[in-house]
Amino acid sequence: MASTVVDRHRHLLRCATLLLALPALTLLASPPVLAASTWWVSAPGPTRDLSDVASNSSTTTLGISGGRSYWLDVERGSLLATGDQGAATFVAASETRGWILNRDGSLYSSQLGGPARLLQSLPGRALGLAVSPAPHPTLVAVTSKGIYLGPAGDRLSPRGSPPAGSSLLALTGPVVRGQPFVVATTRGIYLLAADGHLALSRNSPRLGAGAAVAELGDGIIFAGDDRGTIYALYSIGWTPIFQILPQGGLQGVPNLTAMVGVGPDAAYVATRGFGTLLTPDGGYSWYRAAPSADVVALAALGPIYSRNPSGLVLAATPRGLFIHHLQTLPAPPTYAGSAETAQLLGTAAVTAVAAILAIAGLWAITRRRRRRLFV
Amino acid sequence: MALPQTDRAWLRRPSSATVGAGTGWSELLLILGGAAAVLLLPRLFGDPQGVDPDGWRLTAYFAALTAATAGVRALRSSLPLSFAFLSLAFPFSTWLWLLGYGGPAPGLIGGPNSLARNAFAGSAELLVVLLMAVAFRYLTPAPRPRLRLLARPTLLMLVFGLGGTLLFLTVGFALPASLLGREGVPLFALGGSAAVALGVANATSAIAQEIQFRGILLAALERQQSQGVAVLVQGLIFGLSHLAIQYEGPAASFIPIVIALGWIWGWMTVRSKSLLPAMLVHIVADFYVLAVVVSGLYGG
Repeated sequence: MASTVVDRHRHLLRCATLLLALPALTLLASPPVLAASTWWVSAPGPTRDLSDVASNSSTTTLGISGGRSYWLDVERGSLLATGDQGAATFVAASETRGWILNRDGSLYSSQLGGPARLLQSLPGRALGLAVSPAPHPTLVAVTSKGIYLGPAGDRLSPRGSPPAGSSLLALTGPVVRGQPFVVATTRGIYLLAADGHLALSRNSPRLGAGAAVAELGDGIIFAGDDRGTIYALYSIGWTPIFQILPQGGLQGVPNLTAMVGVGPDAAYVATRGFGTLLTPDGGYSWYRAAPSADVVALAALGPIYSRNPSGLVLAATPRGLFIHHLQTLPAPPTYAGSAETAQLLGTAAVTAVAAILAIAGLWAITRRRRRRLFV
Repeated sequence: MALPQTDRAWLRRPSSATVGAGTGWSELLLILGGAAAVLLLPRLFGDPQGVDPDGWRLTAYFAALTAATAGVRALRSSLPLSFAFLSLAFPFSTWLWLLGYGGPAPGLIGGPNSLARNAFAGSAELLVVLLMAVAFRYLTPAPRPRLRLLARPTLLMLVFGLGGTLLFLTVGFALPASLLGREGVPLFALGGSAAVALGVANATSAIAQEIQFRGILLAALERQQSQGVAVLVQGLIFGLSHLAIQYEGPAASFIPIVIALGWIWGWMTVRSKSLLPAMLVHIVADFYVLAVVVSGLYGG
């Protein structure tokens, strides 16, 4: 009787070992989804409720927190207020210069780390601000009264307005020189050249609430809105490329909050409640890399448009700033000649040794069992 | 002359559900440990899949075990288990090879990634699995294993098949996207994925997997373990073997879900005494995964 109880306990122990040990093997596969979630690291320094961040070419950028603008050093975590110039709504930055557009249309400029200086007062309510890359950047500000454009540092002059009956949804600047600004309106997506020429992009989607646009370079533009469909402008024209799926039967599609291009083929798309999606190949495949809070704005810093990107992507969230250090993805190793032969031989040796040991083990188990039977 | 009760009990043909119940843990763990070594140790000196596809490595390992257990009389009690694992690795490797992965593919039918090539590879895999199932049934030592392949349809099977399908789709579409790891559907790729999903390749693959796991493997495990433990173990192996297609892929978070599905389908098979209900749900599940989830993960 006692031996039966012991056998039963042994049986249960082996069963539990197998049930626990085999799922543990899944951890060895190191799924990239988990790895991706660690891409985003919290920026050092005090946690601020950020509503906007601007692109720059160093590790310092302009940001808005609680309606005030700051120069942020994202590596050191230091913040330098640009002064008390009112309720900042949009920021833009290029090299060591930054611009701040207040809700009332007041446009300020600021040198890196310095105080803000009033450039001019634009009529109407502020709707968007963007700047083209250095050198000789062009600044575009959009208010409820029209579009204002000019060389950065000079006074901006009016360059028309979106068509009657339409309203501005999103504005983004080019990432490489020579490309147009992108102005998303309820009537379609317009391309604004540096000379002020505004043209409707043919067959562009009519976006709605929560619209966001991003330029990737090489003329590729991404656009989307809260409905979750992301469109791309390729050489063949506008085409829907991606549909964010509902999170569940009742939760609906996660809202889109921001987009930023980080290379000729790469872009980040931020959502509310579903983290950030990254495409490394112009919108063909998508990966999820989620900071632990809703992302309200994205910006790219540093040398991102290069063969070996080493810049940063910033994600502004209500819980502070998150950073993703861009890096070249490791490519599969290529083998040739002796290296390939050595690996094949090594693999064959492991397989053969494992098989021999397993057969020897089975032999030993059988012998032990036979001995028990005959004892 | 009527035999005494005790003698009749002694003469009764032992059922495969009770033969050797609980006695095969050592063999099972030894065989699986060797397979884990074959799969993981080469990663120490090479990349996981670059030069040598792991499917053929495992096939060679299980083929060696099967040959040894078939050839040496003393080891024959481990033949069903060795052969069951070989019937998992060999058809899968053949399928991959015919598709064009894991070595130079024969240019028999269709181009790489074409629907025709998928259908051809899937049909060939199913044929290999069926041949191995027949060999398993007639070549393994008595008592003959129960494959549950040719069961006559019953009402219980219909209820399990249709009810399970509806339940799977309801739960699948209601689950949060983040839990499934899906982000969205690249619209231009959806058409192609759906075509493959609806095609022969999808159905043959699902049928082949049911014969492999709920047919051959479950029958082999039932010879050594109790039926409940056999269902649990085959579910675990079913889930873990999906690492082969998701190795280092973004879908490894699926493994616990696949293990749970393996348990449910195993239970359905045991209760209905047939592979048919699990096959039906598996075909629908594969269609759902390919059309809705995988295209969102990999971009079609």
